[in-house]
Amino acid sequence: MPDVFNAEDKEPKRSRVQNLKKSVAASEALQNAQERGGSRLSAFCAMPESVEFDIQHADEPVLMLLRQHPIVNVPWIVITIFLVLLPIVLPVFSFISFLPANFRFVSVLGWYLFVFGYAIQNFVLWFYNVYLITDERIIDIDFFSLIFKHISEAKIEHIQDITFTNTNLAQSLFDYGDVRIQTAAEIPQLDFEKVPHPDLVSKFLSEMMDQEEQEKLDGRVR
Amino acid sequence: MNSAFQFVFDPNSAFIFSSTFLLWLLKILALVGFGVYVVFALVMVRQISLMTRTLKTGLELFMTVLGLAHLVFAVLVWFFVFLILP
Repeated sequence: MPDVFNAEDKEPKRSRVQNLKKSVAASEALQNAQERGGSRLSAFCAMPESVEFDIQHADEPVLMLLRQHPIVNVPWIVITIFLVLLPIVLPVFSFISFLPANFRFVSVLGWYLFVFGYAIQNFVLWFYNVYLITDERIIDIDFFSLIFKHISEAKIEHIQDITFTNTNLAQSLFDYGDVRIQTAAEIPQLDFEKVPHPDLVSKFLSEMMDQEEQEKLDGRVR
Repeated sequence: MNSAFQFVFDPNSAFIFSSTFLLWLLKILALVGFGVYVVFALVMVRQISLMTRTLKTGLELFMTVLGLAHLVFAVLVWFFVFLILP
């Protein structure tokens, strides 16, 4: 009996490295971003090495890792330095001078413990609040006040509109801003807040959308 | 035993107005306050562990050590309060 329909064999699954190479080749913005470098502590890191996340697929490479621009850390760093120097510069513990020396010693220790805790908390929250762009999805990982964790994601094929804004002088000066991504997914909007080079991020996402569109036309959607 | 209890908590007792009582009260307050802080430091260590499991960046060891150093510092301060305060 003759076959009525024969489905073509699907393209073999590509590895993570192959997907990464394909994305680099297809994206000019990613190549530009790669030239800007970026260490593990950087707020703008293209194709970061050894970055993985818990809901990552086996063949899904991380193409871009973004954090808020380091300038957002300035207020808590200034406060930390101020709090560290305060007991040295001003006699802030003079109001407990009537207490025995061991009480005063413990007060100073307690002061520096709080300052240390304050600095660590702010640093950790900045470091782990990240935005990830893979070849399939955009992911927003948020930790609020060390207790709440919130992860939102949207497939690149569901992105409908991308806008970026530099709203004030500091943002224009240091080249950071918000990238607003509207999607047709369950979460209608994802905001990449205060990320460096919002124009480049926006351009990269547009290229990824085009690439996804092309893959859809070629029937290569994963 | 009863007389010692009365000595400490009887409002007419001279002990309640003494510096010994005030220092004793301060030590109890400091122990409770720093005890609560130790719990906060423990929560921070737990949260850092959750964060490092969620996102691996190659700096997991550094972050864990940072959290543990804070916890050790908090516990040490609590012990200082317990041991060196009168």
